[in-house]
Amino acid sequence: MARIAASFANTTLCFLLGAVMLAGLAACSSSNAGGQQARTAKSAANSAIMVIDSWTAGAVPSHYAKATLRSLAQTLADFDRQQQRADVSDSSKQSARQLMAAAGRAEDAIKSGNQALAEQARQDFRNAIAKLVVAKPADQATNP
Amino acid sequence: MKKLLEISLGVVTSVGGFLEVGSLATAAQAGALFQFQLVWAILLGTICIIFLVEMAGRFAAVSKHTIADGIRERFGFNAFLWPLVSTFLVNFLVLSAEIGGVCIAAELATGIGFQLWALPVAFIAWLLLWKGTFGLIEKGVSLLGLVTLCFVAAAVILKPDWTRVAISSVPSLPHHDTATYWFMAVSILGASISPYLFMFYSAGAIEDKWDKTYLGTNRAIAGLGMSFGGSISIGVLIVATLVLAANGITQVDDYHQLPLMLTPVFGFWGFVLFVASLGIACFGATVEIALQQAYLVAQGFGWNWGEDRKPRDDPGFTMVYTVTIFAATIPIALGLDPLKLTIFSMALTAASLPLTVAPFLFLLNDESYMGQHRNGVISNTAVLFVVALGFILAVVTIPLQILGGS
Amino acid sequence: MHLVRDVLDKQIVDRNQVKIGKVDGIVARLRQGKPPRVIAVEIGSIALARRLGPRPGRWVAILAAKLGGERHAKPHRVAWSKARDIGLDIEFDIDVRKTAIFDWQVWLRDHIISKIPGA
Repeated sequence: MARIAASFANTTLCFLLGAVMLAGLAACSSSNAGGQQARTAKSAANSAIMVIDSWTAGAVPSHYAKATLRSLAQTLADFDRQQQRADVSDSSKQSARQLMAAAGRAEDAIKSGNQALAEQARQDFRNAIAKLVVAKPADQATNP
Repeated sequence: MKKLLEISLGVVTSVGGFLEVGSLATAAQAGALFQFQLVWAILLGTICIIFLVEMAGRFAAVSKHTIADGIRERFGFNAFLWPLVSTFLVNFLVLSAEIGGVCIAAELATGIGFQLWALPVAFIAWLLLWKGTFGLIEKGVSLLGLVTLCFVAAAVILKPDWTRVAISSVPSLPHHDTATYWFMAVSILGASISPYLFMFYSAGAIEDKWDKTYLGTNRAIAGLGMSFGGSISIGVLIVATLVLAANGITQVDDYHQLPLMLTPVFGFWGFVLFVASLGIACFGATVEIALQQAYLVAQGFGWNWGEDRKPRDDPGFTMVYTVTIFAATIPIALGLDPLKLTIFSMALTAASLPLTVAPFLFLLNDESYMGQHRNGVISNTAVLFVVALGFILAVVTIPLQILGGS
Repeated sequence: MHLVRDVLDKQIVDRNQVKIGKVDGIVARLRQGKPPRVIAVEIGSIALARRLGPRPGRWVAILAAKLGGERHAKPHRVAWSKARDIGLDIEFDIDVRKTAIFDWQVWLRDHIISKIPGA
């Protein structure tokens, strides 16, 4: 009985080891279909809006707002880079640019404590998001 | 009366100690992308862990041996090596993720990068293990963990459509992103059915010197404690749905996004509560997992062990948790993204379930260990189900990670 | 008594109820026409390594001898005649402090653990 248990465990562990290696590779590589890229950008942009709102209301410390916008700006910069190279409409490429610009404006606003500039960045985000091509029904379904 | 007090304390510590970075991250991601749809996965995972924890506790109380003891003694060293190595490796990754969780909380609170917090956090956790007793760790840290109930409070305040939540307790097919949906379900199950949870519970039963008179207490703590704990995870999912998804945030792949769940509900206190919840919950898990690694090795090899003993009385046991805690800081100190590490380790946990749960089937039916307290039909059915589930998870996890993981 | 089921890998405690280790190996004398007679149990890394195969056993034996001297080149043996109580655990009528079984733990304690305050 112990032998059966051992060989079954043996097979399982071999599988596991192979799985770990595959998973490691999978985790490293980022396979982003077009629809997911748009979703990533939209989520990042909406997150930025929430951060600006929270910061303006004094609900989050400035260092958090700054760090978060820095991180979101990087995501949006990646998105912009992808869009410029991709086979998408000019309007999509423009939206990506606008998102990146809005992120930059928001960062500056937080750094200088300028609430008006933050509000402007917020508006820029809103405009750019509206223009983002919504490819999947999921995106429409999630905005109640 | 005394037993009632013990049950209450046990339930409270289970609730406080339930949430950790895995359940938090998976619930948040699920709520953002699929709203209430994945509630069933949390429920399923919670039900499974209730059964496993009750069995682990019963095994320890009746036989005065832990599950790890039992696996070595009943299956022999060669067969024991497989669950030992796989559990040790998976635990190591989860431990790293939990340390990462504490570091993120520290970064959110202070602005100092999470990498720099890795060593200090590990040191404080180690110090607690070095100087503290089991009672202090089990009760002290877990009681502080009750702060995570803020998610339940937030969920209630947000007034979800409870009918929709109830409907989601039954599995349903996704309307979009099928691979991602199932990958998230797998990760949620891995976060809920963590082997370290039930193995730690059985070691804890020995540390607390449980005997046959504790069987009712054990059942109460397992049932109530894990249920209430699971409700916190569901709370996180509901909050993510009503705050993140509602604001157009469907993808949570940046840990900076997480505090945004509570700030609209509680304002600045939301930020504080989130940081405290994340930090305390992950710190508790860090200490528990490091301890569990030491239990696993010490019990597997038959050494003396016990958190209440002085380090000089069980040097082998002490060295294991020391080395393991500091080794686990390495991925975080090197800057590995804690959120990605978390999701990965949860999926891996799910994949390794067959190895750690299958022994339950034999141990809990073994007359020499369990006497007349062997598993009944219900418990055996539950174990068989979890083992079968574990096999399915082991097979599908990797393809799903490739197809649907972020 | 079923050796593998009831003896091998079971927890060993000494006369003071101190956990010594698990039964990592069994030493038995083969007799013609009669069942083997258990002489001793073995404890320790060498005995464990041998369970994985003869080569791992040799490697660990060489390593143990290098680290601990000749005294540790062979697995620790406890005579079966000293077994007192065989249940879930096996109690032996010995005092672990008088054996070399805990030498590595003593080394750890003296050279590492004790150096850290609060041990």
